[in-house]
Amino acid sequence: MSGARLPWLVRLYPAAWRERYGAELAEILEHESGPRVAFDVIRAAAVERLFDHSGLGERMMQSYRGSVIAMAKHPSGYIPLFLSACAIALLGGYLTIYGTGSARPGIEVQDEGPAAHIYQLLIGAQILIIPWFALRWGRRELGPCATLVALQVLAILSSFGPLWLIEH
Amino acid sequence: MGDSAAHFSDPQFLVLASLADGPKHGHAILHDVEAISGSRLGPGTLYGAIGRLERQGWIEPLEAKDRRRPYRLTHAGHAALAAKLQTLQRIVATGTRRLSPA
Repeated sequence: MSGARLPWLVRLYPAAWRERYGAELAEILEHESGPRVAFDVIRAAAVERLFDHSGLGERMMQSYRGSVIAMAKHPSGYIPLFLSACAIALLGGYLTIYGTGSARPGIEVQDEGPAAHIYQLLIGAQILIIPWFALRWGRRELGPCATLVALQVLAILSSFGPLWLIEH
Repeated sequence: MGDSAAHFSDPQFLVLASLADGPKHGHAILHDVEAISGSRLGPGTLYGAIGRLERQGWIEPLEAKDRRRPYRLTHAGHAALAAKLQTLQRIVATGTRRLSPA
């Protein structure tokens, strides 16, 4: 087969993998060429580096997941999630009892009512807790902390859905 | 099918199928897979599949000759391939029956 020979691509693999399979793959690549083959080997080497042979990627994922779970067990980790769950439950209860805004045409609400105040407290408390959590844990482990903050923010945002239904 | 042994990717399946009639090295597997399936595995894909199958204990290496190392099916690999083929046969039979005019 004509074209560039690609045995050098074997160097992209982890050392332990090269030691085991490198000679065999290099021997095949002496007879193969072309961008499709090169792409295939580069992709496979990346997968090998990330997940397969060393198990490093897998260990990193386990460690990462473990860090997120450990952080979520701290009060400032789980309280915002709990408060969001309460807010969603509160709005769900309100929707069940009173229905959506469109179900009450022409009714002018003078006061937002206790449910709205409780909702505001539940969300307001999180707006204080989440930055504190991010400052405290972000300096120690940025990645898992960012994941948990993203979850906390997502939980707040998900409570806006029922709120929108109530107000429209 | 509840048998997890029958769950693996297409390249792994093709490599197992290629080794079903006896040991082969990487080159021979590539050519055999092309002959039986009509598609050519990339070398990286082939050795990714070989590595995973070896770690699963479904194939084992034999002594290398001139940088070409043959591989053969283990008993576990034979069982996994048989389970996968049974599943595929059921799917083929069902699909064929459903496609045929009533």
